[in-house]
Amino acid sequence: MNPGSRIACVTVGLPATGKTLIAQKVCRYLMWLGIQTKVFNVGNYRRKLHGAHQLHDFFDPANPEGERSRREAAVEALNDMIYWFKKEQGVVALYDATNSTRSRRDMLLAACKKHDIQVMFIESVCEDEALVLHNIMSVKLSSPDYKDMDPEQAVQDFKARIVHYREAYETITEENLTYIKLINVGSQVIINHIQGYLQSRIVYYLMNLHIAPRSIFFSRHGESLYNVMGKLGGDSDLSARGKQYAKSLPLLIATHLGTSEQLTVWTSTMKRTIATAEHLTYPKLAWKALDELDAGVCDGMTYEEIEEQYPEDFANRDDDKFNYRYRGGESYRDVVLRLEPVIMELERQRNILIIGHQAILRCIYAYFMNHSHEKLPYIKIPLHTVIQLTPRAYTCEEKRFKVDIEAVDTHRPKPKAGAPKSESESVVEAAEAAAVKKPLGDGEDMGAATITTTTMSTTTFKDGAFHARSKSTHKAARDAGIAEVAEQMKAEEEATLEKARAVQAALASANAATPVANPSMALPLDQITTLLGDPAAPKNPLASVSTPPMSPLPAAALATTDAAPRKVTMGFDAQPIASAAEAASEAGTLQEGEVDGSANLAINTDLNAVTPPMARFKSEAHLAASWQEGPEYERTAGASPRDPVMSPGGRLLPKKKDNWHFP
Amino acid sequence: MFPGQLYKTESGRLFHAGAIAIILVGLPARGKTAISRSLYRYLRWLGVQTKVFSVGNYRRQIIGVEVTNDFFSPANKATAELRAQIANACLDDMVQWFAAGGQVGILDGSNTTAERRQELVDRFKACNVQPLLIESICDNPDIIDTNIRSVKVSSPDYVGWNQSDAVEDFKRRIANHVPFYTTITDLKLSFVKVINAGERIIVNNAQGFLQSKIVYYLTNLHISPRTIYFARNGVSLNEQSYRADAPLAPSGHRYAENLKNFLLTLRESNALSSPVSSAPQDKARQLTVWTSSRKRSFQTAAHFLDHEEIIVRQRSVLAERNPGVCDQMTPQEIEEKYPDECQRAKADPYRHRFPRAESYYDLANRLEKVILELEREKNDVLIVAHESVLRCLYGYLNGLPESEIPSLEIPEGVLLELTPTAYTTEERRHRIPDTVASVNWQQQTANLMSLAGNVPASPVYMGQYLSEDKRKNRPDSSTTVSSLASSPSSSMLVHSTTASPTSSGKTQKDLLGINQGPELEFRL
Repeated sequence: MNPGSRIACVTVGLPATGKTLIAQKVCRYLMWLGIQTKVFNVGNYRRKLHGAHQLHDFFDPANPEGERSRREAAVEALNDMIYWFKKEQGVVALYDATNSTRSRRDMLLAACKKHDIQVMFIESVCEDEALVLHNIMSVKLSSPDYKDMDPEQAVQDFKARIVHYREAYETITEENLTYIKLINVGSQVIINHIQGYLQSRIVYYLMNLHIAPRSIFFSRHGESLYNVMGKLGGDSDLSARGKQYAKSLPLLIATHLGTSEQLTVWTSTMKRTIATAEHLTYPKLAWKALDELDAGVCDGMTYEEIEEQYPEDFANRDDDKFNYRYRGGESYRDVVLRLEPVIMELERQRNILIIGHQAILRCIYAYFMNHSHEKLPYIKIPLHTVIQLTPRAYTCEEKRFKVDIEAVDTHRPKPKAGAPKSESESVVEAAEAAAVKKPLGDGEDMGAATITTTTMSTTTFKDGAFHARSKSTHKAARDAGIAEVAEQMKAEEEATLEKARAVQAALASANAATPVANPSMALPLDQITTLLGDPAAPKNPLASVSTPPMSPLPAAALATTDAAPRKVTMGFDAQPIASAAEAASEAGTLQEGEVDGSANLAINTDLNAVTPPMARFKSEAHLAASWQEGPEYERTAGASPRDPVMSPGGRLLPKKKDNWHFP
Repeated sequence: MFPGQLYKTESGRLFHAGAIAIILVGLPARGKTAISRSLYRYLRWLGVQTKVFSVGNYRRQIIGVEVTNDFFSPANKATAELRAQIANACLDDMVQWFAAGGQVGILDGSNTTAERRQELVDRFKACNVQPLLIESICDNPDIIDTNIRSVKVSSPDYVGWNQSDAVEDFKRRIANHVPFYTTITDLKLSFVKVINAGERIIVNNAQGFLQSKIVYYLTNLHISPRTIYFARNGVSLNEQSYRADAPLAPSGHRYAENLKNFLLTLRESNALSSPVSSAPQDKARQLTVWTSSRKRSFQTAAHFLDHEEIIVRQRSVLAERNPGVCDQMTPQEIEEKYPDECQRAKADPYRHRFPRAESYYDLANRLEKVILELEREKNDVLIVAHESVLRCLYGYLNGLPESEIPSLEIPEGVLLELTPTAYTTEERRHRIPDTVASVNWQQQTANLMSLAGNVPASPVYMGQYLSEDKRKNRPDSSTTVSSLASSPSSSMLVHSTTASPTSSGKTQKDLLGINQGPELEFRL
C-alpha cells in the first residue's frame, strides 16, 4: 500500500450545514467503486463517552468541562481512524465533525502527517437560514441527542448550539492546505491544492451533488424473447407481453411523477430498452454505458448450457458473482466502473427514468441503497416492475409498482454451497416454500414478503424458492414453449395478478400528488415503502453495536463468501482483501477491535512497514482478473467445443502462422 | 432512427446542454491560450461543436504583426478604436457562429475590465448563449516567465526578434494592462478562477452538464512537463477473437520484454541528454504503466513488474473496442453478412456501431475517465493497449478530428513518445529493437510455450512467474542494455506494421544494425 494514497477527508463547518450528508454520500460512492472507505463521526464518540442528551451549554466554548470532553471524543475518533488506516488498509476516511477551529484542524493535520495520511478538508458554508432550519428539522430532531424532547425545544437548543460554535468558528484560510469549500450547497466552490486523482474525483463528485427533491425511477425493459427462452444477453426484441408492458408504462410513470415534474428517460442502446421506452413522450437519451453486462462467450446461452459447457466457470461465478468476469466479457465489477459516469450524471440530474437491464439496474440500485458488493449481484429487479427511489436526508425511500402483465422470472439466486444443509437452513427453506404456497388473498402481506428486503437474511431466505421456480421456468420454456410457461406462471402468480389488477385500478384513480405524500395510504395494495439505505448511517453507530449485525448470512452462504476471496489472494497473503460486505457492515458500526483501537495503536504503527509483494500492481479489478484463469486454463478452455481458442483436444491452435516464432 | 448515437443530432448540438460562451479573462502570459486550446481539444473530443476565437489572431490578420507594445496599452487612446474594432470583429464572428449551430465558443482575449466583461455577458445572454468566464490568475513569477519564454517569444509577433528583447517587450506589454485589470468580483456571473495553473480554483455558479465537465477538466489540468508513451500489446494466441481473450503468444512475450528493455534504456539516455538546467523535480519523474484487463495487454505490461520502482495499473476501461457481432469475422465475411452495415460504417467510420459492437465514439466516451486521469498525472505514463484504444487517446492528445481517428496508424513494434507542450503535443516514434534473442531464447520460448496455455494469467501469478522464470532463464540483460545504450540514436520513424522476429542465428550487432538510421522527429 502506497502511504501517499491514504486520504483523510475532514469536514469543517457549523452544525446543520450538511457535513454528515456529504460524508455519508462520499463514503457510499467510494465504497460502491470498491475503495475502502469509512466514516468516523465524532458526534457518535461524544455520545458514547459522555452520553446523549447534552444540552447546548455543553458546546459553549467558555465551558471548559464541555471543551475537554469534546476534545476527548475527537481524539478517540482520530485514533480509531489512524488505527483503521494501518490495520485495515483503509484508503479514504471521512472524519465527520465540525472541526471549526484552527487549533483543532492543526491537531488533526499533525497527527495525520505523522502517519503519512493526506488530509483534505471539506468545508461546508451555509448562509441560507431556511436551509439550515430545514436540515435541523429533517435530520437533527431525530438524532439521539434529542430523543424524547419536545421538537420546538429541541430546535431552540440546537440553534443555541450553533451559536456557540459560531463564536469559535474560523473558516479555512490557510493557503497551503488542501481543501474544498462548498458555499450554499455548491453555488460557489473554492478548490485549493487538490492533489492526486482520487481527491479530484471526490471534488468532482461533491460539485455534482445537489439537494433538490427528485425521484429516480428504474425499470427493466419489457420481457424479451431471450428472457422467455431463458437465454443470456443477446439483442432480442420484446415479447408480446413485453410490448404490452411498454404500452402500460406511460400511464404508470405519469401517475407517480407528479403533475408539474419534468422527466428524462435514459435507455441503453439495445433494442429491448429502446422499444420499452417507445411510447414515452419525455426526452430520451440512449447510453452505451447502460448496455447489459457482456456475457462474452456465454452470450446467447442458457444457464443450463453454460453449466454444461463451462462447468468450472459456472461454479466460479456462483462463488464470487461480483468479481467473476465472463470469458471475453465483463464482471459486475467492470460494470460498476463503466457505470461510474452514469452515476455522476445521475447525481447532477433531477427526475430520471432509467430503462435498463438486470445487471445494470442492480449496480445502480446498489449505489443508491448502499448494498455491498457481495449482495449486489443478487438484488431482485423483477421484470415489469417500476422502482421509484426518492433520496431523503441520509437514505432513499423506495416504492415498487408491479404492472399487471406477467413475465418470466430471470432472477438467479446464489445457490447453496455444496455442503450438507444445516438444520436451520432446511427450516428456512421449508418456511419459504410455505410462504410461496400460501394463498395470496391478502395483498399487503404478499407484497411485503416479496419486495421488502431490508436485511440480507430475508433476501437469502427468499431466494431459495425463487431459485427452484426460475430454473424450472427456463427448462419448461425451452421444452414446452411459451404457452406452457405462461400457464405455469399464471398458476403461480394468480393471486399476485389479482392484487396487481387492484393496484392498476387504484393507480388509475389515484391522485398524482398523494402517493408521494403518503403512498401506503393512497395505494395500500402492492406498494411497499421501504426505508433501506444505510441503516447505520443516521443512527448512532454505537447504538447498533448492541443490536444484531446487519447481515446475518445463513451459515452455508457465509462459508462460500468467505472461501471466495481467500481463493484468489494466494500470492499476496500479506495484503488480505477485506470483503466488501465486512467493510460495509463496518462502515457505520464500531467494531470491537476499534473501540480499543487506541490501545493497539502503539503496537501496530509499523503494520505498513512491509510492503505486500504484489501491492505495486494496483488493479481496479485485481480480484476480477484473477478469477477466471486458474492453473487449469488450458484444460477448461479446450474442453469446450465452443471455445474458439482451443481444439477439442485442448491443444493450442495458432490461427496465424506468423504468430509463432521458433528459433 | 433512435438517438442511439447519443450526442449526434441534426444540429450537431447536444440537446440537453445549451450553448456556452467561454470568455477568457486575464493578463497576457497567464496561460489563457493554453487553457483555450486544451478545452477545445477536450470538448471537441467529447463530440461538442467547439471553436476558439482568438482576438490575437484577428489583430494579426487585420493589422499585421508589426506593432509595438504601447499599441496594447489601454491608456493609448489613438489605438483604442482600432483595438475595439478588432475585438468586436472577433465577437461578431462568434455570435454568428453560435447562430449557425455552434455549441461552445471560446473567446480567447484578455477581457481585463469589468465593463468589457459585462458587455460580453449581455451580448451573449441576448442571443441565448450562457456565458462562462474563466479567469487565469498567476502571481508566481516563475510560471509567467516560463510561459513567456516557451510560448510568447516564439509567437508570430516576435519573428526575427532577439529573445531577451522579445521578453522585455512582452513584459512591457503586460505592464500596460496591469493598471486597468480588475479581477472578477460579481458573484452573479458564472465564473471559474484558475489561480497559479490550478493550484487553487474558485468556481462560482457554474451549473449545467457541460459547465460541470469543463470545471472538472480545469481542475485536472497542469503544466508540469511529462511524457506519455504508447505501445500496442503483444500478439496473442488468438488474434481473431475478441471474446476468446486469449493470452499472449510467445512472440508477444518476447515483444513485451523488448519493449521493456527499450523503454528503460530510452528513458535512461533521455535523462542523460536532457539539459542540466531542467529542474530537479524533472528527473524524479516515475514511470507508471497503465494497461487494460484484457489478457494480452496486461500480460505485455506485466513484464514491467520486474522493476520495483515501476507501478503497473490495470484498468478495465482501457479494454479494446468490442467488435460485437463481427467478432471472429474477416472483413470479407463482414461485408458478405452485413452489407448495409458496412455501407454505413464506410459513411461514418467513427460513429457507426455494428450490431452489439462499440463504435469509436462509444470507446472515446468510455475513455473519458482515462483522459482526465491522464491530464492530471504528473508522472510519465506508458499505456499498453490495443490499437483502437491508442487511436482514441492519440486523437485526443493531438486534437484530431473524429473522422481521422478510425484510420490512424499506431503500428506494432513501435513506441510512441508524446510530450504535451503548451499548445501542441510533440511526438517521436521509435522502432522497438529486438534485443532479447540469445542462446537462452530457445529455452525461454519452450518455457513460455509450455506455460502459454495454462499460465495463470492473473496479475498476481504473472508477476511471480515472470520474475522467477526470468531470473533463471533470462538472457544476460546487462549486455543487451549496454550495447543498446551505445547507439542511443537507433530509433527511427517506421510505418511498417511488422515487428519482425529475428532468427537466433543473428548476432546482437546485426540486430541493432537493422535499426540504425537517422532519428526522425516530427511535430503535429
